[in-house]
Amino acid sequence: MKFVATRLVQMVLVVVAVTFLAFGAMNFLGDPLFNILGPIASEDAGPEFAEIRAEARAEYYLDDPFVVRYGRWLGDIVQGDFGRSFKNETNVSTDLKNKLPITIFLMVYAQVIAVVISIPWALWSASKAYRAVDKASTVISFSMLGVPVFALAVLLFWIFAVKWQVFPTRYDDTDFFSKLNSMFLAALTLAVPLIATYQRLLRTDLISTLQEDFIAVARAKGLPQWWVLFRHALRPSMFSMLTVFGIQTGALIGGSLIVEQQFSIPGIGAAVVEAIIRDDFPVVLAIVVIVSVIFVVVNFLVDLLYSFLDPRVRLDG
Amino acid sequence: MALLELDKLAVTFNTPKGPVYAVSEVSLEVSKGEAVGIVGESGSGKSVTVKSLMGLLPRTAAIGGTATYDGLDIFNLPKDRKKHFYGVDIAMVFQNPMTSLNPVKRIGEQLTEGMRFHRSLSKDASTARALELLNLVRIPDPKKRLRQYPHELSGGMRQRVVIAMALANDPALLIADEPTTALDVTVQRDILDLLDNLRRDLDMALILITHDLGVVKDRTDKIAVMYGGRLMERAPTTAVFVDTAHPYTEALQRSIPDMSMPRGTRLDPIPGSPPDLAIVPASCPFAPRCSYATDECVTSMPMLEQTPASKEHSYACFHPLGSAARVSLGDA
Amino acid sequence: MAELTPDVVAAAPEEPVLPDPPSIAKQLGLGFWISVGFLGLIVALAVLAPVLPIADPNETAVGGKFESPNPGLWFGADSTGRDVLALTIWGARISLLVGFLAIMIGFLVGGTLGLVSGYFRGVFDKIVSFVFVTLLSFPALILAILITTLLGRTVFWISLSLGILAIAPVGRLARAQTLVFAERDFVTAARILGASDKRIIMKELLPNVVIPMSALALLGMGIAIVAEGTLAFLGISVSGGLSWGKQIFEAGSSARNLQDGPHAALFPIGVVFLTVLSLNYAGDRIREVFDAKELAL
Repeated sequence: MKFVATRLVQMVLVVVAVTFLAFGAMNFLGDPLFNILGPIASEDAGPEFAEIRAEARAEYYLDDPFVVRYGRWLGDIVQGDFGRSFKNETNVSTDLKNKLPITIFLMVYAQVIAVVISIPWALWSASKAYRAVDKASTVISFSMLGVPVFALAVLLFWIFAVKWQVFPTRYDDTDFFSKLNSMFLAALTLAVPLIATYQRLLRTDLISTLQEDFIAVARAKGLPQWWVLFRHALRPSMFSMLTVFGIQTGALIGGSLIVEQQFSIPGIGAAVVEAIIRDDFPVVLAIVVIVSVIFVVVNFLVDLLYSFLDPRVRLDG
Repeated sequence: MALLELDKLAVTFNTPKGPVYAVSEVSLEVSKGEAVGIVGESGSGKSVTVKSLMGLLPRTAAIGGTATYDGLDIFNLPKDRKKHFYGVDIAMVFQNPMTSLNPVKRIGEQLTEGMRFHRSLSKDASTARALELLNLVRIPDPKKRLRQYPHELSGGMRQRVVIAMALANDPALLIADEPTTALDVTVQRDILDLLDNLRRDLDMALILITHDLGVVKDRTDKIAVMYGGRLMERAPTTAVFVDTAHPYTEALQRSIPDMSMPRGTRLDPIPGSPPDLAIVPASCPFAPRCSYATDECVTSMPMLEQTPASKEHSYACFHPLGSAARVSLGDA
Repeated sequence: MAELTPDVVAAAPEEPVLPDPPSIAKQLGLGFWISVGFLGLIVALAVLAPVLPIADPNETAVGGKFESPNPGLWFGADSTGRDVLALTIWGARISLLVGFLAIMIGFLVGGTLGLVSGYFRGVFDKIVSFVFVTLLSFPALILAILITTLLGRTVFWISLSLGILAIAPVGRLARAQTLVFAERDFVTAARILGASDKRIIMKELLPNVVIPMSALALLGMGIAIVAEGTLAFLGISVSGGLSWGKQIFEAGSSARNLQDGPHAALFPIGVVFLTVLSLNYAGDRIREVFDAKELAL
């Protein structure tokens, strides 16, 4: 439990640091009012904008000293108020509330594909370690690591959506199946580097686990190969993979910007790109905060998962 | 007919540096309910011999000779028979209980999985049987153990669990590979006695592998002494001690402490080290360390032959001791 | 025992003659040198772009709309008839420059912080480590977006924002390596001999930390090039400049363009892929040969 508490404190500290940095960036890198409103922030823009300037100052507490400003803004965020986009005249919270689930769905989808493909692949290659087939599969996974997501997105889009037309080119959420179907290529694009990463780490750990005595014991019990691999070797071999599972969430968030753009999926990735092009800083800020918090929380959960994977961690704390 | 019959069993490892002859021409019979000891130093091929029987050798190992179990060729079992062979007909207990159990699985699951797979027992039935097994190996508070993880148990306790696991499907033959080497001296005897009692109670054949002649002295019917991957001597247990034929067996006896020895008796460690198995065997492997060795021992290989006293007693030596020696002298 | 006359020595069973350990160049393997060769070619083309006999990348109607690759136009033409080969070569300039600058910044700042904090330890080390953890807690691309949105889209700012991303991973490795070497005898010896901290860091620690770090530099450059490409693909990299990401976005973002002229997207995709693969492979080989396991993280 001490372990959990330490990690929890660390997590809160990191979230504070992240939000502080992001909010600080908006306030100190250039004029905060300009970052929020754009050209109409200037007094020269005319008196007709005086009202909106006052609203923006109030919304982001610009008349308070920075620390107070930060505290009040953070308080709003904790209550779910992410401010307001003055350029798009929308409430950021309601806007993101519709878009966030789509992105989360996409990321979970990608992780599921990655895990479903990489685990059997790693088990298979580890059980054939150092034979020709294993060497060939190592070359394949290494190449998969080198494909930039934006290049892969275009490539898969071209092959499967344009050339062979086995998947739709546009997002479709009329029902669950069409959602799965229309997001498949996007999720697969995100999954490819993950598959390679997981396969490589898991294979290495599996090869060393398979040397363990308890594997020989399981074999001597007459258990079949699949049983030994799945039920004995897999779980003790998943630590490295789990560690990067958290880190990879960051890469997924970055990747989702690209695939949402390429496959026209209306998630927060697409929203942030739009906001950047509009120079709409409040939206960018809100998304940065949300995404960072998700990232930190996922990494925290991953740490908790360790104790599930290895009961010895529970005691050692 | 013997339960297990090895006929000129050989195991060769193909390594990048050339072949390693780990086991050569090992012939041995184990009858139903019989206890057989295989004795030798590390590197003598005793572990490799049983691992070959269990199908646990890496792909680089080439197996020669035959091994039959109940008339079945072990190395070419029919597929449907093989599926439920290991863990059912033959089971094995390993050397180190600290590493023999999967650290991330509860004791209960590890005990029951073999029954669930081989006998399709239900969860309840297999758990009941697991409790029965833990009682059989005399583990206190068995109900609690089922929910525990291996790291919560002591070494001796873990070895009892490993033994219980091996007994799950009532094997007719149990192979125990140095089952006490990794344990505290105080619990070694308990574990050996437990194995001995279980064998009698369950009418099970037992192959007990050890580097210590003392371990097998009172607990086996028959002993096979191995050196350099070969059989040096094979005899009923009493004959091994009363009518020792092979100088290596004699050396082994002198190198082990015995409670009955008078105080101050010196132990004689065997000088030299075990042979290099990468060389094609053409001479007696023990010759370089043997005090009786002559030129003959270095130029040719002694074959296994019977002593005049008993056809159950064989040895591979040009200069045997005991009753065999008298015959040799008579010939000369 | 026979005397060791030359004859006896000659008759003694010969020790297997161990070949000399293969040179580093050999250990790195053919694949490494092919990768380095390819990277050299790309860099040379990028540097020499202005003097190469290729079309002006901004000139339209060099070929027909989506003209297929042919002996006169190796990579074909794009939707406005620009030469895809010229675009790819000119695009390499910004992609490689940003990748290089970003890694330089990461190494200068992160490397220094890591070395110094690993050497002096104490409170400074704790603070630096926390900063690294915090930096790593940002999803990388989001941080880059934050900075470029506020600071502007020039080569300098893009490189800086990507460089900031490199600080934490580089710094952590430098710190870990420093910790390993700071305990070694030669450092202790230098300290006893009265060498100044600055001298120990520069003369004793730095040379030892550099080799494993060079593997990270190659891997990191691959990551930076992909990151720049990603920003460009999203339309937020260097404004007005040519780059691989932008080129792939322009040719590949619409189904129609891909339908009519897939080659305009596929050639730059192939070049980016091979470049990143070469950087990864070369970095990986160095890492394996020098066995710096920490790099795996």
